[in-house]
Amino acid sequence: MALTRIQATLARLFTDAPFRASFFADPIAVGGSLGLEPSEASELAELSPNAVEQFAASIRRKRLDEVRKVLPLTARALGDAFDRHVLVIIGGAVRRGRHRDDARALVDHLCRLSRSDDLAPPWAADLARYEATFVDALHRSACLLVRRFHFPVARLAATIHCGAPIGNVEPRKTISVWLRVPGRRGISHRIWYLFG
Amino acid sequence: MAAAAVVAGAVAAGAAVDRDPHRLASEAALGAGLGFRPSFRADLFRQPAQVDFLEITADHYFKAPPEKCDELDLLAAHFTLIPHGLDLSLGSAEGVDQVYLDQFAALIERISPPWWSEHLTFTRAGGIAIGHFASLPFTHEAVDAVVRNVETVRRTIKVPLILENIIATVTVPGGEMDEAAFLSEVLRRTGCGWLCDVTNLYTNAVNQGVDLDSELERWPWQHVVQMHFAGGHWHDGILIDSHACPTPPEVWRLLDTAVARSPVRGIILERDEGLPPFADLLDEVAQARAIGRRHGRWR
Repeated sequence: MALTRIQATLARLFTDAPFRASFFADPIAVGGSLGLEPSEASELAELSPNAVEQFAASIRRKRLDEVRKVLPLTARALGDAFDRHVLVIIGGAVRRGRHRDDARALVDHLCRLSRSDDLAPPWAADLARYEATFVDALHRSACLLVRRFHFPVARLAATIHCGAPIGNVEPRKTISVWLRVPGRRGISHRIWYLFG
Repeated sequence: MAAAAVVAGAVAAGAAVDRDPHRLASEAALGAGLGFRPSFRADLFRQPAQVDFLEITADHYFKAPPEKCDELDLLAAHFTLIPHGLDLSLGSAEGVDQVYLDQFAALIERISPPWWSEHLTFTRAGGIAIGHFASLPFTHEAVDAVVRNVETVRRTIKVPLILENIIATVTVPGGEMDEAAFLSEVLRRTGCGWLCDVTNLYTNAVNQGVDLDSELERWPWQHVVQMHFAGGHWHDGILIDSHACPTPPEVWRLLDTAVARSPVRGIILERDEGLPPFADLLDEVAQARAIGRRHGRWR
């Protein structure tokens, strides 16, 4: 059915920047790769590139805002760099899921950067993982989650939450546990700081 | 008075009452209310009498943790709640997501609203979650897709469904009609009511350079059940429906015009960003309530 093909192409155009560029450069060939008839591709080529770009930008802004709402402390810690990191993960990728997928992708991205010492501040990946685990626990009706961190994330989170300056943060191995018992309200959260 | 206007309008529109098996035409007026946001929950419960009803974002309560369920129960104990969906994708040629639909049905079962709402859009296609409301091509094939999906939805959810007009940033080529005709055809064939977003109407008209006043009679006012209004902002020469600003005079004027033409039973102020003091929101709700009163939509 034509509408199925057209909507699938529109969805790619709205969410995939490289695809968008290649489609408007050669709509017949690129549309054909998605199964569009030449007439359908020609028709879609009449889309206003500016309007498509505006819509794509509004999708990016919306996704960025959603990630910022899920990880507010990480956003505060990273400052202007937060938007840059989020735009890296949503720039060319298509999203197949909903809800907190972008936030999870950001955490993975920051962890990768941290492993290769390309992240400033270096504790930001731990903070994002800590914050994301809280969100994860909040959205489960029962769970026992255990996470290990290189930095004292709970103190970092509390400091950022208060708006106090962070200063220099030394690594300190930390274990965190989140427990949500079925039928009970609230999450039980414990932190252990390890020596050495 | 409102109920009579509803029935008269629906009959004039041709078979909307016949096609609506779900009591939509007999629902009582709700008045003026707010799109619920957790950030003003405490303020809301300090002055609950100032808000006639609430619209909740349905998706926030799907597979919800116990705290959100408590919130839902608390709201439902004090207000009539209208669930408003974001991602049913009623315009998808691929059909609707049954898992999402089942979650919606569970929510509706829990709070028993007089009606519920979704957007006239597609948000998913080709395995991609777009994350925003994408314009449908204004074609007969797209009308058919919406009709099919609404029929699917009605097999699961018996409560009346109303459809919201969206912001049209992108006009899809190949249209066989304009938005007013497309919406009218969808409402006529599905028997759904119209959730008229007055701000979206105004924003589209401004951005597309359309003189809405000269086209008012082309819109299906007789199908209106509920309205949305809000204020947006300008960005790079485009009016953005950001729900971030006070409602501008132009939208108030259009709201007044729309209420005069419609058997509307509820008006909701949507505000998402840059929330002002709660009293400012209540002032706007009171102003909308007064408009409905002046046109005899409720007492």
